[in-house]
Amino acid sequence: MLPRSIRKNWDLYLLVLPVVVYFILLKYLPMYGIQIAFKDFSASKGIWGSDWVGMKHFIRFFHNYQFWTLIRNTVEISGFQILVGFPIPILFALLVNEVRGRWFKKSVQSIAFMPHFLSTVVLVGMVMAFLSPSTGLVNHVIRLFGGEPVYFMTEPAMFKSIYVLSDVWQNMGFSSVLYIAVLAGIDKHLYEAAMIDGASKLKRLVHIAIPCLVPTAVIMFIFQFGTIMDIGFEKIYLMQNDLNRASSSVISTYVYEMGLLGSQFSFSAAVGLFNSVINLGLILIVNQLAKRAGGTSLW
Amino acid sequence: MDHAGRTSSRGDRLYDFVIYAILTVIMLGTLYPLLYIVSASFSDPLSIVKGELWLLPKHVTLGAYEKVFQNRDILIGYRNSLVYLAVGTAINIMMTTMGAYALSRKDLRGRYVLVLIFTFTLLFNGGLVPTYLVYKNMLGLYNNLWVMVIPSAVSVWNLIIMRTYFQTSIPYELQEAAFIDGCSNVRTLTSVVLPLSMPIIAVMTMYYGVAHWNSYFTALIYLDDDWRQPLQMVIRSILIREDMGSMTGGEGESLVEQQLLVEGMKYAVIVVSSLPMLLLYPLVQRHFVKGVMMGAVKG
Amino acid sequence: MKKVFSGVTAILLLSAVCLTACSNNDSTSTGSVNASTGSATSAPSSDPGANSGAGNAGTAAGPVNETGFPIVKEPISLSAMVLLSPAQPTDWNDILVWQEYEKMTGIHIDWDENTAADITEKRNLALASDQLPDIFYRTKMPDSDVDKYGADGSFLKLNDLIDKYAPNFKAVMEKYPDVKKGIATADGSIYALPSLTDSPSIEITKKLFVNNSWLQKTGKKMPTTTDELYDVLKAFRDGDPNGNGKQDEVPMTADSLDDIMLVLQGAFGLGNKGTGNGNWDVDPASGELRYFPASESYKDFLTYLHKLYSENLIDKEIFTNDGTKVLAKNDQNQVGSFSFSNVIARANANAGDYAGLDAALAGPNGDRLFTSARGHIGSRGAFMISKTNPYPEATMRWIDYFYGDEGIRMLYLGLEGKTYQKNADGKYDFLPEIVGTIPEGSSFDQVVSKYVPYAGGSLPTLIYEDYFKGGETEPSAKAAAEHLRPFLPEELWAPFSFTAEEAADKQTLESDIYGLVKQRTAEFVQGKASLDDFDKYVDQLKKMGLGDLQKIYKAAYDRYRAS
Repeated sequence: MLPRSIRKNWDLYLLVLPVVVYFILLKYLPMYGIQIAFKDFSASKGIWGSDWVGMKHFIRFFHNYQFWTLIRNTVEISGFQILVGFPIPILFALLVNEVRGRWFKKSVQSIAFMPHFLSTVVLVGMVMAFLSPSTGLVNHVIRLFGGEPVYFMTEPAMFKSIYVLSDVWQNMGFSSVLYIAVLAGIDKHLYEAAMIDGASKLKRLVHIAIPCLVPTAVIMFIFQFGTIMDIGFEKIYLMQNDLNRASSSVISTYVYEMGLLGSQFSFSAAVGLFNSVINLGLILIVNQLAKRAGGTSLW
Repeated sequence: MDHAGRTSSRGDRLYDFVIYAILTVIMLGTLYPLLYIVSASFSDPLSIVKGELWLLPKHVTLGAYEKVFQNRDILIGYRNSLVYLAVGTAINIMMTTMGAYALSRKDLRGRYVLVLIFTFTLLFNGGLVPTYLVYKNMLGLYNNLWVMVIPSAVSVWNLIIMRTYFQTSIPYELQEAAFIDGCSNVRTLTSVVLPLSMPIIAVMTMYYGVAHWNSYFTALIYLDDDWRQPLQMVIRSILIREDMGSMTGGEGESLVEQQLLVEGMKYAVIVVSSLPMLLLYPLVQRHFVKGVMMGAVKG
Repeated sequence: MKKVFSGVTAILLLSAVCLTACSNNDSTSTGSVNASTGSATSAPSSDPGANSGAGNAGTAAGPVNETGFPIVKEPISLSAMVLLSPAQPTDWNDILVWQEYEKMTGIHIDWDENTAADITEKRNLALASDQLPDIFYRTKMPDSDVDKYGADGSFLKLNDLIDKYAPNFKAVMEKYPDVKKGIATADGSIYALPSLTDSPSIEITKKLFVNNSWLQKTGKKMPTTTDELYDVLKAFRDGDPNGNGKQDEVPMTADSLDDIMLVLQGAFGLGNKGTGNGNWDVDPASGELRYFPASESYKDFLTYLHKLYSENLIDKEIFTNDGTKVLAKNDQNQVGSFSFSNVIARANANAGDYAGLDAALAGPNGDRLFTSARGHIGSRGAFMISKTNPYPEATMRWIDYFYGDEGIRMLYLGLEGKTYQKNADGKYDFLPEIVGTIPEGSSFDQVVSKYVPYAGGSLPTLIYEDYFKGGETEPSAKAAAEHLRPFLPEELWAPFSFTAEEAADKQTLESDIYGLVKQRTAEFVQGKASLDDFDKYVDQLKKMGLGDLQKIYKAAYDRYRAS
């Protein structure tokens, strides 16, 4: 016999059922495949029938010559991304919030928003078109000033900057919406009181607007920091070529290369699992730290 | 906030000037690449290659667009992407609304556990091969419309954002009143909650819509037939792989001409493929900031 | 309200269907042969014996005629994965030869065409998930995967089938001993039919072509040593041989750095057994097997390449180049020399300017070999029959035709009278109305691909020069090959054979080691890494298990010599 609260509310459970079914079928069911990280996967034996090999693939990965390169690239790209990509939308939101002309405010926001709608494929295509050594705009400018064309896309030293800056360009406006929303929600009496006290605009910004943003910013920071080992695969993969590989190989692209392209599925599963475990650890740690420091946390 | 500005000091005026200046620079910096793309798409490709194009189109021509609209692959891809977008987003909104509403209700038992179970899938997954096996063999998600829409039916982030919105922006008393009037949960959702949820539905439509329009990886793995490929797969070959032979297919053009044509086509392809998303935004813009704020701030 | 509710029901229904589907499938999918899902496109077999897969090849006489056409008594249908060349129609059954061959054999092939960009993903997914097409036809299958999935049981062992149903292929194996040696694994199993050639012009894979008219303009002779080549390239760079007043000349280019390395490495004594086993050859000093990217001579070679690259003598875009870019540069008359298998695939308007080397280049240490050459085996894994193929016998007969004279001619020339004719001099050629007027901008390959499927190469067949009308049989390529022939290694290895365990270890080691070699080679050539670090790089290779890999190759080499 079901508890009364469930019987009474049966249609509530019906509503959530499809979502639960979705997660079970499409997300949890395939998880039986995690075991291949500890097996030597053989296609004809199937996932269940393959032989157990323990930590063999993990050990191979730890001893791999690319191990530290992959970790370093992953952390550097994410770190750089956070370093630049995290504060800029906040600054942008603060600036926009100071604007009073409605028309100007709206145009700035709308324009900053537009690049977000470009797909990764299009964005990378644009980056490559602008940076092309023979036909790209940037190199036309360089040549105009008498410089030698630069091979941006094949230059490992440039890769991370191109990746992060193009991301800032694409997502600054979009990421700032949240902060703009928070700023718009600040109680107007606070400002009025400050004005009566004769505080300058700058002072009002520092003492009212910024403190109001902190809790939201902390949560966003935790989100981003927790995913430091988890950079998107698509954009890097599309931007990658043999020459910039030294700085563009990250864990997610390596998993793809070894697995789907190299058909070493067990090994690539082990690398992926390693990454997931690190991610989980990072999120837990960061969450704990945030709780202790500021009293804000994810859960 | 201060509409009159009568208390503006000289410092405040300088402050305003600096802010407007910075924002103007940002606006132009964001806009320029986009304008360049549009101009380039209307220009004679030769002038792009030579670097004569700076802002306004040179030797205006519609040649690139003609080629784009004559290209069967692009047109089919366009149609497919629109279908995936419409069907996919409809499923997304329905599933997410149902799930989020149930999770927002305090009388749903075990809702914290459910959220935890859902969140777990952000970190761990079964890996490509097991997922492929489950999707293809067990669920029949292969080379059909469903594989483009079902696997992405619910996003955990969006589910949580929407749940938070329901919790914070729909007065619980309203729902209570509906129950007292004898409404079921489903009835309450459709007639009380949903009418108050347009902002968040707008946000969700955008988030999901953009994701559908821009995705290509699922298609790469799970679609076989050419005539099912979404637009992003088609433009990937033009923009990233510069697969010119198969794209122009023009007879009676020398190789250099073909290359030039691809150069010009690139930009037209970018414009044409990004247009639907750029048009979607103004439609939902009104609700957007409000929706983001209510959904995420208090999360 | 109504809408939402019907949506809920739909999703519930859907999930119910899915759930039953899972439970049904779970019991059968593990281990056992999954014929029902693997070859859903195949017509049901009229003979249960034919459906039993591996090892049972001999028993089924049912639907298959042992000789002659049609091959089967009742029409059947098979599914096949294939790599599509950009020149070809996107539906392979639009190619005339396949339509005709279907009529002859009674076998319909359901082609699953994949572009070069996607084939690796699709092939590996099919193999890993055990969802096999009946046939793998030209799928860029690496040798290591032939061994691995063969031993795994994904492909049928073909020995018996060849014996009974492939008279043509058997004859080929008798005629070319290196083929017989090269296609089997260590225990003698054959899992794949190869792509074969009988044409020096193709077997000398890459050749260096030099722009003759530029030589004349700069007053240089065709180079015969690496030093002379350096001088010639410098003259190309500085002498404005294309006469446009700009220094836009690219003295040497290719699709990739590998292609340039292939045509120059012989001058440094590298690759002295041909390319049959990649970068493995024999140390001339000790007579031992060696992996030459770890040798001192390789360092000299890299030093030379770095000199060329740093002085802008090698295309700066070499690392991101591809065939179309080389073509485009040639169209603007910017290229002084390039490496490819023939001229016409990389040069249009100025194709007549190019000639191959008169002789192999002599290197600084007195080496004078040309080592971009192989035996008759082009690639081992050109054709595989999967274990779920319901008609292995018919399939073997189907493919065997293309290892015999008639079939080869059909594959490369189409149908007599319809697409080709025998000329008065006894030679075969396409009909003039087909290839007489090639629209400008489209290639010869594009035109003939409506009729014959050879574009893209590596088909499971044996190429004869008499029938093959592609670029390698053009006079310039043929002459280049003729000039280089005296400088080929005395022995050209066929690929070695490995045991299943060796193959598994080898794949792991190679993916790491070869990856590092590729990366470091690029860095050394570019000057990003100093050649003083060469010893460090060799040490790193050793640390990564080059010694173990050497042992595996040594064992295979010993077997190879013994056989």
